[in-house]
Amino acid sequence: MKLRLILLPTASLAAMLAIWEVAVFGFEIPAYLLPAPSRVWSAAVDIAAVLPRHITATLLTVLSGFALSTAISIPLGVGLSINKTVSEALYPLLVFANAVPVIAVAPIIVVMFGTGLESRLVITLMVCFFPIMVATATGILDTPREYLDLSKSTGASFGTELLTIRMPHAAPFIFSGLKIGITLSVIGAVVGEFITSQKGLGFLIVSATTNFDLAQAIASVVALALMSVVLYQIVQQVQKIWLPWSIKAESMT
Amino acid sequence: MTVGGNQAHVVVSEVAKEFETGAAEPFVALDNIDLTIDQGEFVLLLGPSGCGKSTLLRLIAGLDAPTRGDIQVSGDRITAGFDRIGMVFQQPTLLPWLSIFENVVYPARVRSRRLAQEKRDEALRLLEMVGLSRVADQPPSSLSGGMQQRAAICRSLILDPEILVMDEPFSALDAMTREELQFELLRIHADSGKTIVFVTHSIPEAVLMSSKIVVMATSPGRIAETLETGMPYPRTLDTLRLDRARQLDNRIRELIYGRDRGQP
Repeated sequence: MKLRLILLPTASLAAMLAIWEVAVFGFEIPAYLLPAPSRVWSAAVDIAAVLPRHITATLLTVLSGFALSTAISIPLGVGLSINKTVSEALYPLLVFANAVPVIAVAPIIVVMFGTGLESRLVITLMVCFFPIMVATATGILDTPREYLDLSKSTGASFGTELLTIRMPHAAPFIFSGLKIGITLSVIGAVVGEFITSQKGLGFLIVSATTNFDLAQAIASVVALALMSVVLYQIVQQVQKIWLPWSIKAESMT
Repeated sequence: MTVGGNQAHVVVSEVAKEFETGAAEPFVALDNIDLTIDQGEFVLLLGPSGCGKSTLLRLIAGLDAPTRGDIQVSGDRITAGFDRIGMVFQQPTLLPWLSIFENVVYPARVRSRRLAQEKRDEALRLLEMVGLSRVADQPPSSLSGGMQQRAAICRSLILDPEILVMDEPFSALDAMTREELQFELLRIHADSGKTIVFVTHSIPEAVLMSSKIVVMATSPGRIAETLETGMPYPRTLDTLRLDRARQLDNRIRELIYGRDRGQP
């Protein structure tokens, strides 16, 4: 069963690549329109030496942007869920902020914050604060009435109830938000790099396409996708280690 | 052993509970409830659904406040988190992120880290008493429903409350586990002499365990009649075959279903 789950997608990927390869050579498609997988591979080998530098740059933006979003969104989500006034005052604005297309404001942000890391952090923050915040608030509000009865019957103070019941209950929800957030962080970082950066995978894609070097651009995109998958898996593993009970509950339903 | 030292423990006087429904008149869940529960009594609240028995229990537990009237325990007015009351819910309500042991200690932990530390031995003793010492470090999800409810009973006992308040605690269990736990609870009652207030809609459960049965009726929720069981403890399976048990059973059915005693 386990082997099947690895073999089948590998086989379909191989088939897809083979069709792509054959089609490019069969229809004589020029490389500046669609490079064959083999060409993408050799382009990847060509840039292998500089790739770590760019990956590190993007990773720095992704991780610091993600950390910043988490540090802002979780307390904000808690605040929204436990205080009606805060929620009524801020929620519409946050919904609006989330509705603003980040690509559209990115140039404005660059003017305001300059071409350094700050701009890219703000862009990343704008992309990924919302799902983390909403997941946190949803988790806290989702606390079953029986748990709240329990805390009431033990005489727990509001703070104790928040820390020992509402937050732990919300933790799996928060992790769902973090899993969405980490992949959105990658998108935010790349958008930032498109506009301002001199390094990073986003920059690499832009500079490759200006030279019509699609093979290099595609190789960079694949690297980016792999990074995204690995980061997602890391968040998933952290959840598994910290909250084993939540994984069990998920797989049972 | 004798039950009820004739010393009033819980006094419910002229209590009413109304819920706002958005309609002009609020929904009257309970009206004019007067009830005195003596020290060490085992009181069952029994009645059809909608009679407000769970609502009354929540008031006694301090989870909700009455609209009118007053509830006192040994002369003190009830408040939420009253440490003289231990609560068991219909569902075990164990926190899935804590081990069984940590769940049992939870009410102490809420008060202080030190109290939680002091209650470690007590928690182990309680788990031992209900046969759960071996699974103390396991998560709740690894236990059966009956074992989880046993752990919940341990949790309600951890602060040594004077009164156990139980809201249909066995209704989610299969019949055999249920019977097992009924006798276990009877043993705990006999050993500790705690006052127990217990909601059920099972007539045999009420007759088997209680020293007093409060039969309730609907619209509005009220007490139809209070019956002294008048059967000796310890109870056994034969208790239900006593003449007195049959009388009680008949009288309760009369009160709930009317003269035809619920025969189809």
